[in-house]
Amino acid sequence: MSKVTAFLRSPFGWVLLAAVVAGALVVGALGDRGPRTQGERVDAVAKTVKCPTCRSESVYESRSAAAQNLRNEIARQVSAGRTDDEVRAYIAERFGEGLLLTPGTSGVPALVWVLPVVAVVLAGGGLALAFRRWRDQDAADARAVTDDDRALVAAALADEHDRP
Amino acid sequence: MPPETLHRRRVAPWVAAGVGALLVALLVVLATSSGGEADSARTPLLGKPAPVVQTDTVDGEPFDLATRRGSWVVLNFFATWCPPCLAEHPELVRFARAQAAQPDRAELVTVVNNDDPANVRAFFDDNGGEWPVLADPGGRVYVGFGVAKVPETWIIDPNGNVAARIVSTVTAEGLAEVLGRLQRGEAP
Repeated sequence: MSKVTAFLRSPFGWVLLAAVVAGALVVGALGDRGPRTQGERVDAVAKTVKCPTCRSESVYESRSAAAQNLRNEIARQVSAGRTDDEVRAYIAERFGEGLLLTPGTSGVPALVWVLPVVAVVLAGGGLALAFRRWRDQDAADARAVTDDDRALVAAALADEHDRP
Repeated sequence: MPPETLHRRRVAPWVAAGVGALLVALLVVLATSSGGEADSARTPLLGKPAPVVQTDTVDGEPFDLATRRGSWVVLNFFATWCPPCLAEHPELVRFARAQAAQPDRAELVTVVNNDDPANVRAFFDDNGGEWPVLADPGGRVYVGFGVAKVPETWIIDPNGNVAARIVSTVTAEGLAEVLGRLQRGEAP
């Protein structure tokens, strides 16, 4: 076994793997939150709001009058210093939660965010338990080798060796 | 029975229960989420203070809904390019005339967005309607009330709170009936 493989199989390897995964999640979640212009913020919010008079189009994509009104309102509120979440909350208060293309982060809609995480954690825990059980089983199997087994293997090898 | 089989029989029901619980939770989310079609007369604004309506009429006169406190106000969202709105207009004219004779009369106000003010003025000149006609060029009033399609009619009570929202066309009698119920303190 090479040194690299030995390192990766050691507890340090698992710690390194966990750190890389955690780092990737943090970068993915927060990496694109640098300073943005007001126009970029208006577009970003408009992409998360459904056009109320269209099918399968966001306010950002639609050219309808209702979508134009909503884009105007988003721009007004962004200019007035409201956060993206405050603008979305205002729209949901007027038109209903159904107009938001991303589920809310509180109440029942928050389950959409929470459930996949719960599923991943449960699956990871299940895998860890399964791996541990298999390893324990292998160790138990190794311990279960009797002198008779060894004698049987030795005899088989001798028999193989004696063949012409 | 081998210990391995015994172990699986102990664990399997828990795994099945966990998967079942996740599926039930997802079903709850789907069942309680809104379909996204805003065609209901329900509105989160019901019983709450009416959104700000501060704009000019198509004739350039300033208008502020807050100055109408103490009176019932009927807000009609309208456009000259909308056939149901045109069909509804004679009913609104009849409603306004009938209200003029009432002691607790409601004031009718039209709100126009995405329309040419000249067309709107010409329409009211030709078809009647002496009430204020507000221009909402940026759609602020429309978004404030959550109006995406016209026609819609809203009733604001004398305290300035939203009392009713009627989606689609109204008749003079139907609108008067809803208003009467509200004025008697009944549900619309």
